[in-house]
Amino acid sequence: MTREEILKQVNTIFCEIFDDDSIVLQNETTSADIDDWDSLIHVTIIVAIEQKFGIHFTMGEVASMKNVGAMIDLIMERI
Amino acid sequence: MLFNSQIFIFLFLPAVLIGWYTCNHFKLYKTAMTFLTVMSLVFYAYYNVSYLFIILGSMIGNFLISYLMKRFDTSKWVPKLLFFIGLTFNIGLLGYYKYVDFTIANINFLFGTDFALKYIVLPLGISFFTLQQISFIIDRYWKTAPHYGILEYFGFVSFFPQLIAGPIVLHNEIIPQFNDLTKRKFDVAYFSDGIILFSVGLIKKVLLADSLALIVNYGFEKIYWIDTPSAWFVALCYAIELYFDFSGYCDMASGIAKMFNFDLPANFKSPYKSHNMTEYWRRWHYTLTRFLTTYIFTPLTLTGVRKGKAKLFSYLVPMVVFLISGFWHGASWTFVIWGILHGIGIIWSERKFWKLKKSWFTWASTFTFVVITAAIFRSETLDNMIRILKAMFIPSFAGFIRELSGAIMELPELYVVGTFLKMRDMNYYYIFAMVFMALFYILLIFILKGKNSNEILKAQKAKGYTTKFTILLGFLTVWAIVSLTQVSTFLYFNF
Repeated sequence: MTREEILKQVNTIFCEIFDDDSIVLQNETTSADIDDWDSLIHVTIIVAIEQKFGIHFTMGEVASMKNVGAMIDLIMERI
Repeated sequence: MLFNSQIFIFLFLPAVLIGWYTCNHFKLYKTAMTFLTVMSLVFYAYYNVSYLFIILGSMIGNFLISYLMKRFDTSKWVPKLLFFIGLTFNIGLLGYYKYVDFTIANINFLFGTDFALKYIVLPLGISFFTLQQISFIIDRYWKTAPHYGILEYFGFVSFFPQLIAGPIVLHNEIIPQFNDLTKRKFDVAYFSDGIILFSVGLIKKVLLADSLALIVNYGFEKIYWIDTPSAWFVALCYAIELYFDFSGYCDMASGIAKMFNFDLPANFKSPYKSHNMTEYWRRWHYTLTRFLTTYIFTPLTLTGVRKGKAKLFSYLVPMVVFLISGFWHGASWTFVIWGILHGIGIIWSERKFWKLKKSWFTWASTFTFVVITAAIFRSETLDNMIRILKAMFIPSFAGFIRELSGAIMELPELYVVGTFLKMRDMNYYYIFAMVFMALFYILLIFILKGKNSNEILKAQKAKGYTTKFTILLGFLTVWAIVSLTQVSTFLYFNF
């Protein structure tokens, strides 16, 4: 799967969780850019990604995900 | 040593700055770091020399654990064992100094036993440097932190601007700055930013927080007299006092760090502009929120969501987090109640039971909630807490507000006018005090609605520092320094 394809799938997950189809993710997007992205939603996103791609993040990886780009990098490493 | 003391401002700080930049000028980078660390420990030992052994023990213990984690990196179970030893060591140390007497008192109460209290005095800053090192040990276990050299590590934990009451700085925020040799040069722009932030913090502490403290302390001293208007007034004054006290301290800490060419994370972002409790905790004591979110909230919630128990955990975890936060603030049931209420506040705002748009109502309800819980936070005993809450919620009018306002006349600046009015007529004295408080509150509203310290700094930088700002800052700083005659510690030194 290419980086673009992963980004597209992650984007779909975000749209579903935030119930907002207008979200367009960039590599640089962080929780500061999306209004409702709080720590609870963050965990929901992580688990949704884990289920979608059939992977498992360690706590260290979860803690070091600084933006969407870092998230995609980790997914690419795993699949 | 207090930031708001003449010995710190006129002797310690200039001496450390001169030593630091002199060593760096001659490229003695290691000597500079050693000097900074030793002086940080001197700063700490100034309160009580015997505490030096506690902080040294704590740093050596954690450093050794980190070293052993590196040594047995490939082992499957050793890092895990070391992680548990590290947590037990840190929590045990904090627990001994903070919670032993509380536990004994509660056992005595519950079982009617008569164990003698140990009257252990809380070593300064232990709550802060313990959290900081717990975060480091967890990061080492998660492999998001490297093992640092002993000088880097001791420098990081003991760095005096943040040592006593935060902000809770993470290793990866400060150690890379220590190691960046381009930062070892004197930078006029950074240094002047540092002086501005330090001055703003000093003004907040000395002129605003300490003035409000006169009302708050008097109100709690005479808690038996308190009626409804005065209870609300005391709670409001305390909420604002705590903000100016703690954010003032943090501004001073950031300012001092900037004088050394280093940045500390911002701890306050105008918390009283919040429209819900989640927003409030992002703006209030942010580095504590970050610690609780990263190391407690996220791991627990992740476990719950993975197990398909998202809803249950979304209620349970905030309560656990805020119970811990309450207990961390102090070994008292009032802090536990405060924690429970804030936990409920967070659940309420995160679960979005009411989808309200930001309005004056969401602001007012959030602020009122904060003021009520501030009254609980300030109460030293459950009895005091019940008294002030009763007074707040069961209407009673005894005219105490008049006497309470009179407490502001203790300000040295009002001494002459106070003495004069007292001789003329006590009625004039109290009327003057109430008018003064009303005007003071107009000023406070103006300040709280305006830009916060970092925003002021940014705006002034963009404008090239206006003459009006420079004169006002200079005047208020001199005023604050002249007022430094009384010893006044920071509220967060108690936690």
